[in-house]
Amino acid sequence: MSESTVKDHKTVNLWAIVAIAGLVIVLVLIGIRLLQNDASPVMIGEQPRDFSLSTYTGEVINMTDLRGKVVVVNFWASWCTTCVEESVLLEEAWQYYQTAQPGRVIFLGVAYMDTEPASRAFLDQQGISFPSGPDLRGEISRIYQVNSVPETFILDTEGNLRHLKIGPYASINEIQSAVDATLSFSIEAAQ
Amino acid sequence: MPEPSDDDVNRVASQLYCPICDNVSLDVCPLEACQTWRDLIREQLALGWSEREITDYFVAQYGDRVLGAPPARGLNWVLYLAPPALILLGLIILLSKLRRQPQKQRTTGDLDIDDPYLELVDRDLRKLD
Repeated sequence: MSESTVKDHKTVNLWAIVAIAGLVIVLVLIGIRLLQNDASPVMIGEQPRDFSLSTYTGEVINMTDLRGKVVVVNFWASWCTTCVEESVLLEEAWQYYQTAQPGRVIFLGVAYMDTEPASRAFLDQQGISFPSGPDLRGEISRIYQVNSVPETFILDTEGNLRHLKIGPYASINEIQSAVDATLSFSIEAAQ
Repeated sequence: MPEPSDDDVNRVASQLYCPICDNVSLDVCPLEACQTWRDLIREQLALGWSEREITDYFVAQYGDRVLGAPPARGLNWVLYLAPPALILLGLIILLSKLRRQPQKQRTTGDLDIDDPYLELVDRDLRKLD
């Protein structure tokens, strides 16, 4: 075989290596992108990624700062008809725990894919006093894999998911039994 | 600022996708939520916001899902650059293979001349001359 033929073979092999390496890099990057976008749903007992909620009153609430409390995360929207009745129950439950278990339970409202004026109007109309804020860029709903509203997640004092409700709560008793069970679990776990 | 017309609103809305539906642009989305978003676009246009400002606002609120195509930044560049890069690479490999073909034939000719049998025939033919 002549020198030029050997050289040509080497050139082709080099390009083939470059092509394969390029393809592998592209596939890895696409894989990373898919993993970022498609988080698996949070299961009971698992700890969802922490998030920050910028409330409509200008407060910034970090989930990391809420360790030691039972956290009720409720996803709602002003355009969601079943959220209207549920919000009344949640507000009632929030008022109850502020008196019955002061500082041990916190409710967070996350406005899912809503406009700010409509969300504010909804909160005023329903008289919601627990901290609520928008789900900016859909980041919080992505963590919890929320695709519809209302959905509610109750986390124990360690930040692990203990209860989830897809759809609206039917009564205040239903909310209280879920929160109380999470509180009891947290007390038992601490002992 | 004059009141924006439905066409003005729809022109902006057609560039945005409903965040809670699959592949439905905001201008044709029948949901009540989409009507709220169209109202918001109307308010923003009335306040003098540009189309770019409105689009940026929607992205900041609801994420990239409201856009028709992923924005060209970060890892998204791979989506834009990978196809032409792979086509270019394929063309380079193809061209280099094609270029190699005639060279191979010339090389075969050189080898024939070096063949001892052919050299013998060549020498005998010269003797005949």
